[in-house]
Amino acid sequence: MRNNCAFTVSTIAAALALTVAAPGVATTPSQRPARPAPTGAAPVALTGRVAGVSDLRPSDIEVHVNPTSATAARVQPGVALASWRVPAGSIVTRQGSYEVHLAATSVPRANISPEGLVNFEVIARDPHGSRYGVTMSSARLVRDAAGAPRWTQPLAATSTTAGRAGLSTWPTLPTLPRAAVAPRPVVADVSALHSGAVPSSKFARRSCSPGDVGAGDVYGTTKTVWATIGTSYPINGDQSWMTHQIGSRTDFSSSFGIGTQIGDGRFYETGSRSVDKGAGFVWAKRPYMRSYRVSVTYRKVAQYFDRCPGNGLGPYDVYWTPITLSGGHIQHRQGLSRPHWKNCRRESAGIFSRYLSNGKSYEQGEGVKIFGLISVNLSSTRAYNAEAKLNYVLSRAAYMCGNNADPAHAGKVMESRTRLR
Amino acid sequence: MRRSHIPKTSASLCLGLALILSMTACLGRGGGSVTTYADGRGALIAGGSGGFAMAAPGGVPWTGSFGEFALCSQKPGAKITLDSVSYETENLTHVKVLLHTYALSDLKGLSPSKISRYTSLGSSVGQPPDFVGGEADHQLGSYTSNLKGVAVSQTCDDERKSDEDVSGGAVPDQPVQDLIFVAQTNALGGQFKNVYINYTVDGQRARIKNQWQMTMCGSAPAIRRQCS
Repeated sequence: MRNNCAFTVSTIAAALALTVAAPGVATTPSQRPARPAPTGAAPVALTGRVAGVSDLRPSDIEVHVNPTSATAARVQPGVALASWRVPAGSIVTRQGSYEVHLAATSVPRANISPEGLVNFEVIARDPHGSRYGVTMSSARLVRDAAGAPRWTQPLAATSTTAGRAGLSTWPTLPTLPRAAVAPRPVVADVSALHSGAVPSSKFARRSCSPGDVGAGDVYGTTKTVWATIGTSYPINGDQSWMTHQIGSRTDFSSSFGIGTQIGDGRFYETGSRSVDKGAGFVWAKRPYMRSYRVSVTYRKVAQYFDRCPGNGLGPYDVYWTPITLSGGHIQHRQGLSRPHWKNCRRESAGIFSRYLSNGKSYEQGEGVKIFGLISVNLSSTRAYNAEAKLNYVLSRAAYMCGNNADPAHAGKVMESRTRLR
Repeated sequence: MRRSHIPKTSASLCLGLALILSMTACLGRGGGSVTTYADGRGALIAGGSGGFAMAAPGGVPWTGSFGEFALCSQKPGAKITLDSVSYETENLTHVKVLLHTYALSDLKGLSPSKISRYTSLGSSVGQPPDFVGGEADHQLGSYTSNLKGVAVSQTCDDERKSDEDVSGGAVPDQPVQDLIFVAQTNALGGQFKNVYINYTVDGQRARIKNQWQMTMCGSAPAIRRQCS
């Protein structure tokens, strides 16, 4: 049996040295000027709470839209990329919560993936002390039935892309299914504020001499790790399997945690980034418990804010973010134990399939096996949909049990001989 | 008021098979638009995402029952009532949709193992109350085909807790309501298609487009592909 925890397959990682200490290695794309602040009627793209703060002011929150994963994958190590800063007037605070009101058309086209994903970063500063925290989350831009752009969850069910609907400078976007309603804004909580030096605005410094290397986000090495996107628990010699196929542009969607080294030098999970697509694969039917894993490429990013690479101070924080599914698929059998889930249904002999995205997503708290790199594993979340199915063949009547809902809606499903009590 | 079920029948030939289409259509109560939701989106939740392909037990014709349609509200305080269920079928006969529930007074004083037999059904060969095989043939509670006007007030969190209580042999705070789809088929097998659960929420008509696939396995090629 093979332990694939934190197994890495990247062959280029070792070659990609972070060169932030070398001046003049790259130029910095200029920061785009902020467009006019949207009106108060702009929809909420992002909302969340800042832990331990009850009197948050808009000036304590800074929100950026980071480059797309495709851009992040292409850039050479040592290059600093600019993000787009959300206009300050877009941020509303109430007690310890914030909202980002943002017209979808305000976001630069280059910062929207072809699948409509937009990668937000929220920087929160303590209004009463020398602490700050960050969180990141993807949101998805879709078109509603009327063709208007709307913000919604990154793993929300979408249909294939629609036409441009009059927005000639925009990428095409996926559409919401006809039956779907009320897209919900993404929730991105800042779970902790960390003591230490607090950076000023992310791009307070536009360039660093010598060599005009811009401060901000300096992209570094990559590393490919395994991430669990499903588990199955067959019994009685029954077989289970998972399919992970690529159909429409957005059907296979997953979110993976971001690990940030901040404050005391340890890595913490600070939100997630969503990725789409990847190579398809169908796992073989097998009669044993196992987890299903895909390979995910992460990239290191150093945040310098107002500092310059090479000035001796180093970055304020460093994070590893997922940027793409790299195509690897394995199964894993170690460390799995039979759960004790109580939402059970009696099923006759046949095939039980869990797919489509109207139930809970599959969530695994330590699904991303990146401990070997940052001493902590990160979470993984995958939507069930037509391209990502979990199946059980029941050779005789049995119980199917869900972990957080009835088995037809649950994020995880197991087979059981008896109804568990 | 209109009737909630108006059977229609047509026939079609598909891949050499005579496929019988029967449809019950909810024509609603005249006027007003009907909002269609994917399950999980509107006020009423019922049915899951995925499906079950039931193995043929041997011997034809045979009857099967499909559950996974526990009813709950994700709009607390809203007045939700069932109107009807509409569907199409492929090579199914004797189709009916039943509401399964029970009274709390039926459960009080029973042993835990007896209480657990009131739990919601996933699927079973046979039909209530004569399910075939294992514990399902003892599933208890009442079944009615009269869906019109049935109120659904239990929140989805409460429904999940009640379901866990009953499964664990405890008397819940509220009974669970769930729908059972029953049909008969022959050696070819058959399936439900385009199932809609029609309801009213605070006076507004709405419906769930069902995403739980229900297949009775058989030898028809299109059916067989779903059963392997």
